Amino acid sequence: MNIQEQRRQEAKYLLAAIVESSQDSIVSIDLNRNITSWNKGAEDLYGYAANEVIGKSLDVVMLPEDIVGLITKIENICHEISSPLYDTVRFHKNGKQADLQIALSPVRDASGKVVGISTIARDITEAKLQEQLKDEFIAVASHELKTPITSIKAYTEILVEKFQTSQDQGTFSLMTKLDVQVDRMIELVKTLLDTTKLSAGEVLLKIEEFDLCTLIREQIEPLQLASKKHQIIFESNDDCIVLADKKLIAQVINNLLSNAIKYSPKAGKILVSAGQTNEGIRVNVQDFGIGIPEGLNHKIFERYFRISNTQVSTTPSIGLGLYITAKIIDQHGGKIFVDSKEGTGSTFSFILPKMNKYLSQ
Amino acid sequence: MKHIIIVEDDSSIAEPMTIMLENAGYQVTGFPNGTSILSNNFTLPDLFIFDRQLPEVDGLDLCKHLKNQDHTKHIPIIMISASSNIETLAKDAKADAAIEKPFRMKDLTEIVARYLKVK
Repeated sequence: MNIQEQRRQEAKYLLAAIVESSQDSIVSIDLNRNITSWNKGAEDLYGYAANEVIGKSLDVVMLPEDIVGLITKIENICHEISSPLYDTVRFHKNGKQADLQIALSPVRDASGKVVGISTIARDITEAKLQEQLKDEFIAVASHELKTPITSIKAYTEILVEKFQTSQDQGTFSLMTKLDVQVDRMIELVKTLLDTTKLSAGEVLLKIEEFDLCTLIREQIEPLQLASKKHQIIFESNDDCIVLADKKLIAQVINNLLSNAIKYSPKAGKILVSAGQTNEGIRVNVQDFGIGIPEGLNHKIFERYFRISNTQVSTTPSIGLGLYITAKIIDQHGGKIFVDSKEGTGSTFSFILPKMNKYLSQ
Repeated sequence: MKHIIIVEDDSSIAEPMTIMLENAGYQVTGFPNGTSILSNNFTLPDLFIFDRQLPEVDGLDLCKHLKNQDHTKHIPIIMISASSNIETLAKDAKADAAIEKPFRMKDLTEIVARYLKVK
């Protein structure tokens, strides 16, 4: 054995040792989902010893609906389309279910042809439970804030009214500032509550028929009055009657417009348009602001995600606005996406599906 | 002067609510629980405001009780609550309006004015 070959052998053993000792489950399968290798992590996760399952189908640990998904993913990988991480549920030998995060990657032969798939699974049951506990905590804490904040707001309103008519304009000015901050706190509590309700799927849509263009104009008006710097231009040539939850869609439009203003401090205009497409009614909100750094477009709708940028570091935000926006559109069976370039601006768009599609739900 | 009865056990809400409504020109009577309402021991007002969560009797039950009696069923009732489903619950209890905490007193006085037709 020459030195090169010896090194190759050593590397192979080292790799095998890493795979074997990994706490994550590492399983390889052929293209028909038959198990070809099964490490110690897989034994711990699924409860089957390697000799019990090698040569058998991976289907034994999978949900029936997941099998179809895996077949598609294997096909994609064979066509060199990479498969992103995904969450799923799989079965332990004892019948218990575990929440897993799965990564799939191709196993190739010497000629480079895909001959199998390696699947790395990590148990995220505990992480999911922690997330649920965190959500519950936020829900309880923000619920408990509702009454005291109503009380603070009420006393503040009384004092503002009292000093408005008094000689003491200095105190009136301070009270007005206090009132504005209390309003901010109320909005924050409402945002937290919306978040927990939407992530728990507790929001029931109140579907009604309305003109989306009128709603957009109504949302633009107060923002236009408040923002002297930006000219908000709205264009639509189509009939925009939709069946949706008016209050929630108003919230979506307001969020997108407020963001457009907030994240384009140096720009002079914001373009809004609405119109029919094959999929439904599409609304675009375009700003000419700071944009989203490359590679972060898909993360922008995630919970608590914020872009760290010195230009907007003073802008208060807890990274929930777009998460709520996306959840609302999602609940309507719609789509939301963003096209953005750092330094040039962003266009946020959403599509509300055509009538009747979700009406029967 | 239009008369409003408030049933709210939390004085930190009842007090500013009373001041605000009195400033708006209403006569306000407050009860910390619903027992007087249940035993019909009160002067008929022009409008009721009930908190949902009350000691002993639930605000929604108070509402149902009044809406089932001939001499009180015409009086508007506004429910206030921290529950997010208060609108639906209030509707089921035949309340005329519901307002979810946190709210602004201005929102409440606007609803009150709508029912009492004060200009």
